[in-house]
Amino acid sequence: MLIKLSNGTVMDPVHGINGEARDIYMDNGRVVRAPAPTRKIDREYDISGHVVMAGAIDIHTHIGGGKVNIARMLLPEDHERDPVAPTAHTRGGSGHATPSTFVTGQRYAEMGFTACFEPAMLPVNARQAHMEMADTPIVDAGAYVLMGNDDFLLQMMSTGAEQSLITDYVAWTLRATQALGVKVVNPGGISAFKFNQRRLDLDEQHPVYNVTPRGILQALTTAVHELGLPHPLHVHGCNLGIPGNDLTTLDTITAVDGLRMHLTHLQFHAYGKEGDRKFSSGAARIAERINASANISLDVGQIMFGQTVTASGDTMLQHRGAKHARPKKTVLMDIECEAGCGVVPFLYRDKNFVNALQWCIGLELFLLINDPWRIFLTTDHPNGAPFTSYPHLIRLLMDREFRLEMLSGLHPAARQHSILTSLTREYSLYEIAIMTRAAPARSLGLHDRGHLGVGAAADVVVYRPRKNQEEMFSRPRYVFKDGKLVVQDGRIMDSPSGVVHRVAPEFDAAIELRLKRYFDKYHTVRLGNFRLGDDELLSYGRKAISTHACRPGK
Amino acid sequence: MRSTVTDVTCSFCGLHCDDLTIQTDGATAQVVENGCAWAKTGFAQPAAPVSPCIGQRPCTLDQAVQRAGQILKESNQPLIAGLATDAAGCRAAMALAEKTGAAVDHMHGNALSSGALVLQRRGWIMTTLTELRNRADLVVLFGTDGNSVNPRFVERCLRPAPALGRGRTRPRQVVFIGAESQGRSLKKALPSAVTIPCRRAELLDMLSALRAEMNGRSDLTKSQRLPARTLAALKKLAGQLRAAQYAVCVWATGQLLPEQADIVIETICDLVTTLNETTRAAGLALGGSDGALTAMNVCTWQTGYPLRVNFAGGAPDYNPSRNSTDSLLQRREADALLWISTFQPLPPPKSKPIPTIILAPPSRRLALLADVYIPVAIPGVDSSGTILRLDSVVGLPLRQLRTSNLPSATDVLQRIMARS
Repeated sequence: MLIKLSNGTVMDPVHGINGEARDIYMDNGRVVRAPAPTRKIDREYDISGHVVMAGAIDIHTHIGGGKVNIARMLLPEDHERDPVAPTAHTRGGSGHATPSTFVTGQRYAEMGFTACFEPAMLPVNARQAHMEMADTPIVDAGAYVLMGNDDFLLQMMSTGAEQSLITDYVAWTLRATQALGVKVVNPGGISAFKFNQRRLDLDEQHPVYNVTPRGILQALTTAVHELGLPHPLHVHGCNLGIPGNDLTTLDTITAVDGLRMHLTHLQFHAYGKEGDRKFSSGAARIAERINASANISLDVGQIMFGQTVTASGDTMLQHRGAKHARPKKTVLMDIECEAGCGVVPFLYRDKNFVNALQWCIGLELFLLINDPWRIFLTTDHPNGAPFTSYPHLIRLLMDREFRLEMLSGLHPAARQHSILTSLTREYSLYEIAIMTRAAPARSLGLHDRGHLGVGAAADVVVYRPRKNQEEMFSRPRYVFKDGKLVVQDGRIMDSPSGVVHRVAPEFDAAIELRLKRYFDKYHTVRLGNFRLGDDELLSYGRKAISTHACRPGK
Repeated sequence: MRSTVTDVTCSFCGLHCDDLTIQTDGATAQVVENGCAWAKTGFAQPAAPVSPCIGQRPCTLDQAVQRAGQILKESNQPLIAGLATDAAGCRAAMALAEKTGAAVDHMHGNALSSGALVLQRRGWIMTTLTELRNRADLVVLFGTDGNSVNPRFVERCLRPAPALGRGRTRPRQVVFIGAESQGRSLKKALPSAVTIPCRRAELLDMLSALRAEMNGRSDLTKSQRLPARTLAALKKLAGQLRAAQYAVCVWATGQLLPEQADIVIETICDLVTTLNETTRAAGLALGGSDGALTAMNVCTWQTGYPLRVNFAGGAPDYNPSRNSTDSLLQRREADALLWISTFQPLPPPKSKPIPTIILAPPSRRLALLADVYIPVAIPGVDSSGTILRLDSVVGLPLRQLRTSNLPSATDVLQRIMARS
């Protein structure tokens, strides 16, 4: 079906198009050239005066896998306030902090998002994570596999294994779990917690294995570099949430020695310990360093006020944070000698000094980091806030007056501790299009997503321009997914299934002998059964698997 | 043609051992290595063709599906229960429940619900099988010997010496609190295991005494009617728990007194939380058979709630006491039952007669109990699939080992959905 979107105001940063009036044609799920005048247009939408962008991409959102499901299970009281009945085009479920899978896909699509990436898939939990993503309709999905706390890797490093073996192991894990990237959480720290260590600093020795977090980061960034994965190592660093971790973050940037690295939910890693309350913003010094470090990208993990639930692989620091749980309940798990998870419900309050300053720190990072190609819009859903708060966040970035108004309601001491009032920057629509479309697609290696050029997947969003950007981004006029109209004026029109994105790097099969010895000796799963094959993955209900190219050594 | 298949996942208990060797000639599958008695029986279930039935009379699959769809369509409050199937089967059952306004529960719903309620009240600190096997220097079995609920638990998780973490591992101590008969069989499987004898009804008293010991209040235990020998054993156990580097407290919800189950679990979880202030400890719930954790997880990701949801009003309504199988049947609130038991042909609970549809492996007995009976494939024997282990994290592949004409429960449920 040939579809024409006539005369929209196009924002397509990949092609340098900043608000030009253009027509866009879609056919067979792709953006196509203007057809010959003789060809019949099947459906034309006059979108004069409307803004057109590619579908938005969330680079870091916990939407599938064990810990998200534990978070769902933990808070029936939160779901009960947001019941969702099925309709002719949609399945039902429940919403708010951790919506059920169908509701997650629908609400993302309703805001113009067409791809979401689960940032912390445990290898042994890959089947569940992929099934949950397959039950998340409309949006494409993919996952970063969690490494860096598994006894196999730590054992290898501890006994001085060569980097090539580590690189092979990373490649093997990516393929065995059908992942798109590699994530590390509190490198070595989740493992150390299993041996009763309560903190692990960047250069601190693991209590048992002869490794440090710095060494793990170096080994994994090198592996990602050698394999040429499109997405850099996705790093949740040491000391999350601990005042003074701004210095850890600066040291972490230095540690990777110019190799590419993505720092995730950086807001939680940008805390100083200055001032009478021993809690201050480290945003300025971190932003300064990042502005000067072209190898670093980041997402913010903005917090918003209200009830949410934090779900993380970082058992060490979630155990520490359990005393702040609200409501008062916490789930922690040590998992299969490879990882762990911690789930702590949390209520962020604007009259609480620490929470209010966290809000300021996130916005400071957004406004102080200059290059929208390296900073991505996230709330670390659901950890900082549910993803449904993105339109509000976009308005905070685009509208200084609104930002100052919100700021004025916060805990007064937090206002004094933040430089937010002095920051005049307002994001343009073009910059929003970069940070929510073009840049994440580039960072993930999704060549046919995040732009509107000929040949791109026809994931297209049409917005009615509004002075209030929160309204504009909450309810697009139209959303097309692979050329299909899926949302019109906030109503779901269709629920197709999305594509799963992955990489398939090559590796030396010798690593499997070593893995087999380890599995036979320690594991309760056989090596062969650990692997998730293509047929099984597709049987979960995916439209297709999209494999992205690796460029070794680049 | 005869062939031998290795690394087969067993679907007949929540442990889902995946190291079985199976010999198959196409028509049959026989365990030749690493199978427990349950596995041997499970894989040897007859694949003899049994026809679908309506009112005990053989009919075509189409006719059975049509009648099943009609029953659900005419029902005010259908109940989809049993739910013992693989992940794809659970997903199909959920879709059908949503479409027909049904309530959803699992055959082990009482046990699952006790655990879920504790989770929702206080959370918990848990571990998984590979962690236990390699890290636990102390395992305390509360009211279960392990093997009676998951037959290879001792062999696969307790017998191997903890081995990860050089210089940190110590020989494993195993303490069992429970019936002496179970203690004797545990001793056979694991000679080093120590038993503190305890009747099922006493378990809560024992836990209270242990907690008092842990809190340094042995004076509080004197008021209880536990024998002095038991109190001394508990005092020793309290010391072991405090001194352990990684203690794992194990229970099997299905083996606890039903009316005490959530309190017992909650008390064990309190103990574990306290231990983690100074050392490491974690809980582990055994059982999880018949696809229990698979059903619970699928229902949670699709609705936000761990089973016992009701779609009668459109959006899923979570009410664990009202939506239980027993309660819906006893109060006669459910007016039609779809019972799914694909691993073995287990019957639905007895109740006043309501129109009943049964999906189970070939079984003449079940055919007699149902208004509509549809024989289906056994996941992991007659059809491939995916299942979650009892620790609720590890996903495992199930393989087809026999050639079978039986449809999978997933296929049947999707076809019923098209007719309802």
